[in-house]
Amino acid sequence: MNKGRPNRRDFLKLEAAAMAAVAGGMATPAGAQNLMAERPTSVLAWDKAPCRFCGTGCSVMVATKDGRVVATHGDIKSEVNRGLNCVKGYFLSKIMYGHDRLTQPLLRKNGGKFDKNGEFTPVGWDEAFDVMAEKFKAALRKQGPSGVGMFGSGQWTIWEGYAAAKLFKAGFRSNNIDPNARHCMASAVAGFMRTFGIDEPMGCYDDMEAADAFVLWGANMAEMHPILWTRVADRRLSAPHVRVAVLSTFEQRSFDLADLAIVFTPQTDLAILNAIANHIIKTGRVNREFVDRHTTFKRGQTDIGYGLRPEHPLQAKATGAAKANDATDMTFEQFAQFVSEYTFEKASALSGVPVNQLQALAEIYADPKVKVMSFWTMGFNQHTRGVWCNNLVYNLHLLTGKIAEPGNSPFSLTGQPSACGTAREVGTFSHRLPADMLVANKAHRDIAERIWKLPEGTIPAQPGYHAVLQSRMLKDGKLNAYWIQVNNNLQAGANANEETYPGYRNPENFIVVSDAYPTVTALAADLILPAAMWVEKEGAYGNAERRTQFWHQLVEAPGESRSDLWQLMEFSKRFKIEEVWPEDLLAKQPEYRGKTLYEVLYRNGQVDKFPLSDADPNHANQEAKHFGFYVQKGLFEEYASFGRGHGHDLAPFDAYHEARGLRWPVVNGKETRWRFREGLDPYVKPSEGLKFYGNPDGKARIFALPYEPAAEAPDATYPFWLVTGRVLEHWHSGSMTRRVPELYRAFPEAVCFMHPDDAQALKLRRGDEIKVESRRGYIRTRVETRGRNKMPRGVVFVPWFDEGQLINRVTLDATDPISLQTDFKKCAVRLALVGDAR
Amino acid sequence: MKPRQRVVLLALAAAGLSALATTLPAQNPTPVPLLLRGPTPLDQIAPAPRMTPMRNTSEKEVRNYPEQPPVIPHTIEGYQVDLNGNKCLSCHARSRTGESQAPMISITHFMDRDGQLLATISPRRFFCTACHVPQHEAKAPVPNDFVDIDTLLARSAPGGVRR
Amino acid sequence: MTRDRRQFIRGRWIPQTAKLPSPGGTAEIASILVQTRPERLAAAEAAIDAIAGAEIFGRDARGKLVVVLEAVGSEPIGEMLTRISLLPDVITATLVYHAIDAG
Repeated sequence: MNKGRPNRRDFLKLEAAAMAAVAGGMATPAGAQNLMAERPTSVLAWDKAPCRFCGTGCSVMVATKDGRVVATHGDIKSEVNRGLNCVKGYFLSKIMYGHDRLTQPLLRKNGGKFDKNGEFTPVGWDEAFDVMAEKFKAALRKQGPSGVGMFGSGQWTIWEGYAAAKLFKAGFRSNNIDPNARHCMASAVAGFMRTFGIDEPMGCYDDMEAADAFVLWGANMAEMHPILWTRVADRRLSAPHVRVAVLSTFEQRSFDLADLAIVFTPQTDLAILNAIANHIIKTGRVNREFVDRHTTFKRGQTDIGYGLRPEHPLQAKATGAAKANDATDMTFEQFAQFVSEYTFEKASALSGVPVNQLQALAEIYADPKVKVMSFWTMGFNQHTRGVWCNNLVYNLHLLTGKIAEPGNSPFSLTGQPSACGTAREVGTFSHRLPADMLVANKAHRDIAERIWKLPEGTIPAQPGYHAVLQSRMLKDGKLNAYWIQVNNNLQAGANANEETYPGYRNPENFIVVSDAYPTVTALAADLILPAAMWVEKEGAYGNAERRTQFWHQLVEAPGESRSDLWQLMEFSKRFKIEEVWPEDLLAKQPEYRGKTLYEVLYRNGQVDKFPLSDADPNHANQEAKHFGFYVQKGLFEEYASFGRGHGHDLAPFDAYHEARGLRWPVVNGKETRWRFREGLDPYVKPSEGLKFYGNPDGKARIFALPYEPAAEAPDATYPFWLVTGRVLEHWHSGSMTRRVPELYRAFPEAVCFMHPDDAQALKLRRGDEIKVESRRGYIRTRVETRGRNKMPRGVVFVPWFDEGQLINRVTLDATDPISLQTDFKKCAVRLALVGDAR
Repeated sequence: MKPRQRVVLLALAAAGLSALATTLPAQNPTPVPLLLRGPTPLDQIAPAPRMTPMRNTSEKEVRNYPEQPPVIPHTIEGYQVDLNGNKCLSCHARSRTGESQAPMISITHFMDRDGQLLATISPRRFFCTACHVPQHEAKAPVPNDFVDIDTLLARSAPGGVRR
Repeated sequence: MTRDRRQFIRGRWIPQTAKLPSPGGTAEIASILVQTRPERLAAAEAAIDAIAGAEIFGRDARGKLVVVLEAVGSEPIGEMLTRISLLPDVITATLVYHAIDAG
C-alpha cells in the first residue's frame, strides 16, 4: 500500500480485503473500512423533533451518534407529514455544522476596552454581560424603560419567548419587546381578533382531506409550505371533483396544480374579495340562518394611512390614521349596499383578472355544496391592508356558513415555527401578554401581575415599540440598548438604508446580537453572543394548526455558545430590582428588596418548582443542569396557567414529550381539532351548536372594508412593482440553508425575475447585471427571465435570502396601520444595466 | 526610553501576561468575515456574481445519509410537472427505466399517507422538486463540517480512521 | 479491447492472457482468502509476500490469510491466483472480490 494519504487504488484494495475477511469470518484487517458494522455500533439513537423551519410543523426523527447529528428523516408517526419532509427538512442534519459557527462572545474593542468602532474581540461571558448590563442600565437611566428593547427570534422556543417577555415586561417594565413574527403574522392575528375575538385557526390540517376546493390567496404553498402542498396535491389528484384555485401577483409553482390560475394586480385582492361577497349576496346564496344567528356586521374605519413616519405626506393626509382599528355597527342590508359597488366588472378593471375567472372563483364560495378551504400567508399578511384582507376572507366563509367544520376552513397559514406557539400564544409582542391578553387592558395586566407575583402597576399599560418603530427609534436615538436574539433584521427589515442600518450604527446605541452564525446583523452589532440551535437545547414550538410539539436536547452546542434561554436568565442576574423598579413600586412588595431580576422572575417558587430529577435522565439538558432545576417545565407550567380554562388549554408538560404534539385546547387529555363547534370543542356547551366564544356575544364579525390603494405604486420614474419573498430551498435570510452546500448550489444567489418582454424593452438579456433601485436605495442583481416564477409585465420578484443582495435596502417600511406589519410585496422600482458582463 | 518607563512597561507587561493567563480567551481581534456576502463592506453595494448553469453530469452524487433525497445531477430547465403531466417520470417511472437507465423512483414514492403501496406514484409525491433539487456549478462559500455515520463508525472501530 | 464496468457486470470476463498497463492506468484488483495449516502459516505468508503484486492484509492464527492482488506488469490475476494455490503450504486459495480499476 502507498505510504501517506491513501488514494483510490488503495481504497479499492482495502475494500477487497474487508470482503475477504468477512467471507473468512476473520476480524477486519487493520486499516480496512467497516463495510458492515456489528449491530450494536450500527444502532442509532433516534429522537423526535419538530423541523426547525416553517410553520407547517413537520415532525422529524433525528439520529445522533457520538454527540453529532448524523441523519434525519420525516417522522412516519406524525399526523402532519406522515414521513415526508421538504428539501430543507431533509438537510436538517447539516444546518448546525457550518464551518463558521459562532462559538465565543465577541465584543468590539479598541485598546482592551469596548469601542463601537473597534474590532470584534473574543471575550468571556462574564465580560460580555458586564458590558451589556452596564449599557442597559445607562439606557434605563437616560430614557427610562422605553430606552431598552428586544427583537426576538424565529427560533425562540415557547419558554424562551416566555422568559424574554417576563424579563422585559415585568423586569425592565418595558413593552419594547417584539418578535420577528411581527413581519410575518401580525395581520393574521389582528384579523382573528377583530373577527373572532380570539387568535388562531378554528380548523386544522385534517380539513385538507375533506375539502372539495382549495383557494390560495397570494400564498405559494408549493415552495413555502411544501408538505401541506403534498396533502393538497394528494386530495386534488385522488378525487376528481376537487378543484384548486391559485391567486397571486405572478405565476408561481403553486400554479402547477391550479385548475383556476389567477394573476392579479398587487393590492387588488381587496376588490376581488369584496366582489365575491357581492356575488354571494346578489345570487341569493347567503346562509341567512347562519348569518343571523352567529354574526354581526361592522363598518371598519377607512383611510387609515400606511404606518409611515408621522411627517410623511401619506400619513399626514390619512383622516383615519389615529383610529385605524375602529368600527361601527351596521346591518346586513347596509353591508349588502356597501359591497354592491364591487361588481365583477369593477373588480376586473382594477385587478386585470377576466370576469369569467372572477365568476368561477366566486362560485367556489357561493355554491353551498362545495366545501372550500382558503389558504393565505404573506400575500395577505405583508400588506398595508393585511388585516382587512384577513377580515374579508372570513366574510366569505361567514356569509355562507362555511366554517368550523371539516373541509370548510378559512386557514391562516403560519410562516415560522415559533409564530403561533411562542410569539402569539405567549404574547411576545409590544402590545400583548400571554393567552391573547393585552397590556392596555387593566384586567389583563392584573391577571399577569398576579400570576407573576408582581405588585400592581408593574406592567406598563402603554404598548411599546413594534418592529418597524424599533428601527426608527434606534435611528432617532430614543432606543439606546437593543438586544436582537437570533434573527437577521438588518437583512429582513424594510428600508434598511434609511432606518435599520443607521439605527444599528447610531453611536448612541448599544446593539447586542445573539446568533449561531455571522450574519449582516451580527456584523452591525457591538456585541455578538453565540447562540445554540435547534436540538442543542430542549424546546417546543407550536405550528399553524395549534399543535404544540416538544423535543429533547440531543447534542451539545459548540464552544461557548448557549441557548437563548440561558442568555436571558443569566443576563437577568445582573440587575438588582432597585436598578429597574422605582421606589413606589418596590414599596408595594418590600420582600423583593435586594433581589436580582433572576430571583424575582425565575426563582419565584413557580418557575423553579420542578427539580432536576423530573427531567428525563436519558437526555441532556444544559439549562436545567446549569440553573439547578427543571427550568423548561417550570416556565411552561407557569405560562400554561394563563390559558387553561380560557380556551387556550395546554396539556401537562410531560404529555408533550410523549405525543407527536397536541392541538389546543387540550381538555381532559383530549385535543381539539375544530373549535367553536359543539361536540368538537369542549368550550361549546350542549345545545349551543356553534359559538364564537372569543367575543362576549358569541358571534363573529363581518366587516365592510373597501379597496384602498398601496402606499407606493409604479409611476413614470419607477415603473415596476417590486415583490419580495422566498424560494423553496432557502429559509428566510439563508444563514442556515446557504451553509448547506447542497442547498446553496440548488439556488446560489438571488436573481430578479422579470417578464422577457420587459427585459427586451430595456435591452436586457438573461444573466445581465442590473441595478434594482427605488427612492430609498438599490442593489445589484442578475436578470432572470426563465425559471420557476413567470412574472407579468410590470412586476419583478427578488427573493431576500441573499446577504450579498440586501433587497430590503430597496423596500418601503410601510405597514398595515392596525397590525403594524410591513408590506414587503409592494413598492416601486426601476431597473438599469450595470455593465455588460454576462 | 527612560529606565523608569521601561520598568513600568515591564511591570505592566508582566501584569498583562498574568491576566491573560487566568482570563480566557485570548484577547486578540478576530475578523468575522461574511463568507456568504463576500468582502464588500456592509454600507456598500456588492456586485452580483454571474449566474451559473446547472450541473449536467448525470452521475450519481453520494448522499450524506441514506435518508437524504438524492440531488438531481442533470439540468431540469423547462421540465414541466403540473396537472398536464410529469416530465421527470418520462425517465424515472418504473416502466421507463429500461430505456432511460435512469434510477427508478424510490419504492417509498408508491406509498400513500398510511404506508399502503399503490399501483402508481402516490399523488403526495407528485411534485419532485419539493425534495429533489439540481445543483448549480457554484462553489458553496462556507464549508460544512457534517460528519457522516460511516466516518464516525470507522473512528470508533479498532481499524482506525478511514479519512 | 475496451474494458469497463458495464462489460464486466454483463459477464464479459477479461481474457486471462491480456496484457495490462502498469499502475496509474487500468489495473485489476482482487482479494483472495487463503487457507493453510496453522503451523505452515508463516511459511505460506513469506512465499506469498515474495510474489510481485501480492500483499498480505490480514491473518488469522487458525490458518487463514487475506491477500490482495494487484495485477502489475504482465501477470494477470488469474495466473497469480493459480500460482498461490499451487504453493506447497497452501491448502486452498479462493477468489472473493475482483474489480477493474480504471485508474
